[in-house]
Amino acid sequence: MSQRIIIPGDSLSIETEGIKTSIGPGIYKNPKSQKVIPSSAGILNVKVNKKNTNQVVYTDSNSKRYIPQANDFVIGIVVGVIGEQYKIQLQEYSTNVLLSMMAFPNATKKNRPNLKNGQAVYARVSQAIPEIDIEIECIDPVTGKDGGFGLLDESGYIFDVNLNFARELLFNPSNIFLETLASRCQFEIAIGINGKIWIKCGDGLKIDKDETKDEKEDDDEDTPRKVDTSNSYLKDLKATLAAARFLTRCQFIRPEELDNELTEAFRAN
Amino acid sequence: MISANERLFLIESLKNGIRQDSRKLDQLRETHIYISPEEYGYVEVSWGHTKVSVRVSAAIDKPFEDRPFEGIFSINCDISSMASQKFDNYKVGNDEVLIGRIIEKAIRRSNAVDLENLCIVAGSKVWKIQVDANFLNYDGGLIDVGSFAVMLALQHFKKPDISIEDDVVIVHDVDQRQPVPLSILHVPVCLTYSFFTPYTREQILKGDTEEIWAMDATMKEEEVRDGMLVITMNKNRELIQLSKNGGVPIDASLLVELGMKGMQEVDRLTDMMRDVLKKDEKERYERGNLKLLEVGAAR
Repeated sequence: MSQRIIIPGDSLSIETEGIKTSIGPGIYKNPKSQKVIPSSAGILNVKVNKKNTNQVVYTDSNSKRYIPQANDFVIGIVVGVIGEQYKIQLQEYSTNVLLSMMAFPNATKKNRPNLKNGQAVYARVSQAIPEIDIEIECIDPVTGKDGGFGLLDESGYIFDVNLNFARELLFNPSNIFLETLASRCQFEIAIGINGKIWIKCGDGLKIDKDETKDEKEDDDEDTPRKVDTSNSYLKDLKATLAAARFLTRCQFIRPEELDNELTEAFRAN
Repeated sequence: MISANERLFLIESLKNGIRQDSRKLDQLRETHIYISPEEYGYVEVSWGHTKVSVRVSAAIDKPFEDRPFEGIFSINCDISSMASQKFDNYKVGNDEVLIGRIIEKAIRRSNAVDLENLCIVAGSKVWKIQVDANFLNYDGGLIDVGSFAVMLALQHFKKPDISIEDDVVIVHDVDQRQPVPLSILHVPVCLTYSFFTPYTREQILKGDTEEIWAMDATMKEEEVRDGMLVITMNKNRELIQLSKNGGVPIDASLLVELGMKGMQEVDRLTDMMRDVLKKDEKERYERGNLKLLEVGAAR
């Protein structure tokens, strides 16, 4: 397999006649001439199936700005409400997307989800047309069930990584990072292709349920949640932060440094 | 906006004295310094992920009329959206103004640069020293990093030598005559303390709480913090500036304690600047073969 870097303006030296071509990110089809050209710089990937009837073409590169595409799995943060929709932030300082309150399993006009500002959701981009507001949903369109989407609770930590690293974690089943991490601790993870990762080791940050309920009755929003202060919680908290530190570092290191970095990240506590 | 998850984690870990980047609460981030080997007065400082480049330049100008004996010195801080999308390229936000002002107050208004030394001909010709600080990347602590880099650049900068013959000012080329450094009267160092409080306002006012404080906050920590304090000091144990713009009230005794604690870091940073400059000076001396030019050299 030869890897080639292309930039916009290059010609794509691929055959498009007599073969069904699907174009992915970074490739653009001129609607007039029906020509396929690169629209962003990166490594060119061409995948042809065995019968030579189908091919997939896309470019792969690292970037910081996330541009939503339909069917992406993302982690978003609730930043507000407009009518029956939540405003969700997929990345800091970028345009918000919309999440309908009806886009949850079993949601009705009366039975709506109750999300607060700052809470995180795992969702799928259901519509990404550049000219109008982008919409996401927390429901599996096939089964109508949650399908793993929904609120990400506050016991996990959220941090940012580069977009290509998030893609690597999400799409490359043979990536070694999560496996290496699993050799050290038990964790639960949600990876958003928008470069956000939610992770929880053990029980993460334990929030005392009873206390939270009491405060809700008091209706005092200023009071911070009481947190369970038993001794094991500190261990999980530290482990979660260490895991986040490790994954952040993974973006910049070579594979042979991986074990070293793992011990380093966990030793620091 | 920062997620509730991050906020909760940050506060909880700070309560237990843990930080995300495994630093201690009173520990600064690692500093990398690049000094231009060719010219005088250009430095780049990386401080964790925060990065700033500073250039000092000099020109001859007319002094202000009310101050005929003083040179002109100005610091220009530019935070573009290259550093972070938080900052707008066209609008100057409150944060940017505050950062610029505090750095300027710490350095220019504390008389760190001797202005009278910049006078060439009283009332008509003085040196105008301009400092341009460009923030290249943002991960918190712009005030600390900015003032550190500006002071480093000012100490490194050398202006061309001049001589006056019959009212004519001759500016000598750097290769012709050794350039002269600025006269720096003292080296102010800014330290920012961030305060976090997991308590409600009532609890704070009642006074049965203790603030969590941390030095050199990262971007995320800056988002979560409830107040900050900038202390500017120099190695001579002089307090130059205290700036606390709102935020949680803090105890007077804590203020004294933080000032005392900060002294160690001020000493360390001042020494770091001195060592780096000394090393650069030595390298230039060797590269330029300046030993041959000394008075006692065998020729």
